[in-house]
Amino acid sequence: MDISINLSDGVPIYRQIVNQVKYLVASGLLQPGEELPPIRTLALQLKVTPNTIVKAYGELEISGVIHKRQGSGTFVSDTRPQLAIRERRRVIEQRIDALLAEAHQLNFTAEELLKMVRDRKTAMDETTAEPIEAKKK
Amino acid sequence: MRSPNQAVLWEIWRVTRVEIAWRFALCLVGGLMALASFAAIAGPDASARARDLGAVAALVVIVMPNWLGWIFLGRLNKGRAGYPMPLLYTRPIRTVTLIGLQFAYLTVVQVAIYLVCALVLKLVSGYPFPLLSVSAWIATSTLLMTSIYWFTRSLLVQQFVGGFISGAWLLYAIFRLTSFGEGKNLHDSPLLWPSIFRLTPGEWLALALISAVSFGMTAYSVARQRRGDARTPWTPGSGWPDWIVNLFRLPCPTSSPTRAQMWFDLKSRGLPLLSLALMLAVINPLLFAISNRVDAANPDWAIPLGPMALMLSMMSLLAVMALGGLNAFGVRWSQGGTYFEAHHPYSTVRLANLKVFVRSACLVAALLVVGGSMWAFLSAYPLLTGDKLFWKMTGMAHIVFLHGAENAFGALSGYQKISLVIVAFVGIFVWVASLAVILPLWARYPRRGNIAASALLIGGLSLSGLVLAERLDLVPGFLVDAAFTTTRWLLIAATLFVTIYLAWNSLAERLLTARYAFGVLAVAVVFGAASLTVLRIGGLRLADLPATSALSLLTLLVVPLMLMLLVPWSLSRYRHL
Amino acid sequence: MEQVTVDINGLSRAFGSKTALHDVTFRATAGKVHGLVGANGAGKTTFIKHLLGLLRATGGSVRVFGLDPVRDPVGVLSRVGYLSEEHDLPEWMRVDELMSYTQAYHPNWDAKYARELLDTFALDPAKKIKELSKGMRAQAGLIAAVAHRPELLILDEPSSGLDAMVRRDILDAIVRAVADDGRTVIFSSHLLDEVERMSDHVTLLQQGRVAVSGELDEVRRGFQRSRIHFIEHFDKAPVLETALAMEGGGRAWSVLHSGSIEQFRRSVLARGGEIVESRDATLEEIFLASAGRDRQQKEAA
Repeated sequence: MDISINLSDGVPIYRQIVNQVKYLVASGLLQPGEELPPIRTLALQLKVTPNTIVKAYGELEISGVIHKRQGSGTFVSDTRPQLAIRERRRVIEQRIDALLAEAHQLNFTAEELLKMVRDRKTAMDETTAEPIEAKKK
Repeated sequence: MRSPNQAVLWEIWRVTRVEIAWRFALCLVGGLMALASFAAIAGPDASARARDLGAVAALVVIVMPNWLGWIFLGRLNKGRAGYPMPLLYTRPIRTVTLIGLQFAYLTVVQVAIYLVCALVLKLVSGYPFPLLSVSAWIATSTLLMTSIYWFTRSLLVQQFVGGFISGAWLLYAIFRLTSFGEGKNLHDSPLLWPSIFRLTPGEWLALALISAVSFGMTAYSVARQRRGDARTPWTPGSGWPDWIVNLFRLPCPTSSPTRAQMWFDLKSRGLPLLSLALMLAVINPLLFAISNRVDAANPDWAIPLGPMALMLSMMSLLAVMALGGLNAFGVRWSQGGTYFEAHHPYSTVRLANLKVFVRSACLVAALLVVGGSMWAFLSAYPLLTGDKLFWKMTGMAHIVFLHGAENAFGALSGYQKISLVIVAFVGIFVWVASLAVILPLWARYPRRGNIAASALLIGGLSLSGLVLAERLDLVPGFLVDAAFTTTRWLLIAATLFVTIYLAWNSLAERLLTARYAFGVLAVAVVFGAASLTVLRIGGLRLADLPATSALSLLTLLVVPLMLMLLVPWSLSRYRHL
Repeated sequence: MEQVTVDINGLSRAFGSKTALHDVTFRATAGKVHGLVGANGAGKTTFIKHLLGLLRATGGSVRVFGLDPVRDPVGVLSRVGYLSEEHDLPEWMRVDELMSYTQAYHPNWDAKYARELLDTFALDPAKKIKELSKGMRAQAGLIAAVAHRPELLILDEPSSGLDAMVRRDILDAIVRAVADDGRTVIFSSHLLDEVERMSDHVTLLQQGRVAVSGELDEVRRGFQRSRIHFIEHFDKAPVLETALAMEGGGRAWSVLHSGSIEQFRRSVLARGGEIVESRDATLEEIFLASAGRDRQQKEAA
């Protein structure tokens, strides 16, 4: 599992882990039913205290992203995780707030910003469409 | 500062200026006081004899500090042998220049102090204090003594060679001072000084040669040290040197902490002591046999080698006593850090007792080994003493002691023999335990330790001063008696008080259990009975003594009890600072 | 209910006239890693020595596993593993002798684990401590400290002067100690990023007093670093309420502040600025701000 910790992020370490695991699951890099590394292994890998991993896994379990199977380990939940709508909105809203503040500093209006968002989405669709096309062939 | 040379001189000046000041003061004041006090003691008519003796004393006072050497040098390198200012190695200055400058500085300063004092004394008293010849001799001896400390990094070599050379220095000085010819006395000598201290051309040459050789050797050796070619030194205070600790391979037992700790003490301190003892047990007889052969071949030598070898053997026995007794707790100065044994789960009482017990046992074994070998070779070889009375007397004393002791020991009953052995063991224990508790207590209470040491020193000096004054009829006899009686009562009171305080404190802190306290009392009672038996062998009965003497004797018997309480108490103070 | 391993109340210690620790209160719970940070001479080593009974407290109480380390060294030390930065190991001992010697004192010594660590560190058991480099000595000391699976592992500046590989070994040992059997770890360090990764609970000592103490995340949340953009150009840092340290220049400033966020926001708005971004402070920033403020106070005095 490819997770990295950034100490100067300002975000608590366990939250960084939670976010990154959620991202991995959401992007399909972690498949449902796949096993997550045990607490000890991940702690050794990241060089963090195991209690942080315990906290992170605990929170992921509460949000239903992962579940613990008695004695066997920790696995990604089978059903596509129903992250509370509020939770998903919250993540995106955080990004939007930061974006808006930055745009304001750089003297862009909200309309210019929305237009730029649409343009960027179109560009991204084009680049991701090609490999999928290649895969289909 | 305009040049490296100036900087070097300035630096050594800065380090030594205080010492120069007090040496100068000591010499000058001491010399003048010697003159004055002898003149005063002699009385108002101040006979010439007393004043002459005063002049001799003054000369001794102003020459002696040169024998002591420079204290700052020892302190700079924390007592290690070798060049004491290795920080200068990285300066842009050649070794020869460096050594030359520092040697020149020390010599000039030493000679200057002497010259000024001698001139002043000469002016004040009118006696012909020797100037040039003794200055030259002082210069040479400075070079020689300093080079001994600088040219080798091995402490062993430095101490041996240094001791030998300073002994030779002292003997030569005494010889020169007392070579006033037949029919004259010491108090005649000052007027003869110009002739006594005139050096022959041969002697001048010898002095020059010694200086040159010392300088050359030191410059070469320090250059090697600078390049890193010299061996790494063994630092004092870190235990025995490696090669002796590695003589015996002894695996560490893992079955119990007591065994592991015993292994620790044996491996680091006990076995090296025994190895040294074994080596001495072989070397002493060899030395003695060789010197006997040499004596037999040369019967008309002034100093027979046999008694010298015997004296060396006795000194080696004393060395074993000293090395074996010191620092039973293994407190380390030079390495720093905490007390390693304090990290492990083992009770302080058991740790302290174990260390002292193991050390005492090893010391007893070492003394038996060295003493036994001495006994063997003394019984086997006759002591050739030559004609001089001093050596004859030493030889006779040894033979008498040996045979007398053998006969006397055989005459004792079994019970008395056991008592003697017990007292001997406890004596060794007292020695080891006393030395063991000093270091930790001093480390824990440095100010109180300094005060106690100064008090003891001052007390001892005053008592000896009083005795000397009584001999010179300066103070009445009853004052000295009063002083001694007071001291005796003080010591008795101190011993009893300390014992009771320790017992109380240790029990209160749960350092000792009641069971341990009873055990200690039992051992003390046994020791008391044994010592009384031994004293009775020597003809001393407790009932016959006056009350005060009996009390002092009983207090002496309480000392081992006090030490048995002091040993765990002091380790506890050191383990938990 | 969390089990309290170390309980220290009002600990004070003076060396002669110099106060090394003053009224320090500290509690360590089982299964957690406790980090101890502070400037040089703040009292970290002094504090740790009290846990082992190497120093007696001149005031207050020290209890480890409910026992006084001075009164009952055997009860405490048998369950403690200790690694220090000082040169404590006897120079004449060999590595294997050190293992055997320590093994004799701890019945639950895991010989297999010790051998495994020896192999991992590639330490030659026949070498004497004197012949080992500083890093290897730390490794030897670490094996002796952890191989008997102590309930409390105490590390005093374990990484000082050591290379990255040895440091990683030490961090691994800490992780293993806590992950297996939930043991307690107390360690002091100058490397604040290490403390930040490895601690659940952090204590900042300043001149013998506890300046900050608590769960790491809570402590960090108590201090915020914000980026401020001002309309006006400032040559010198403008005074803002609850601000501890300010960096930057002109119109863009970065501020470390603690306490009421509302107060800070109002103060910024009053000065004609706006908060662009706000995040929890890192341990290093908190440490520098506290130490810096302390130094300013001393200079002002």
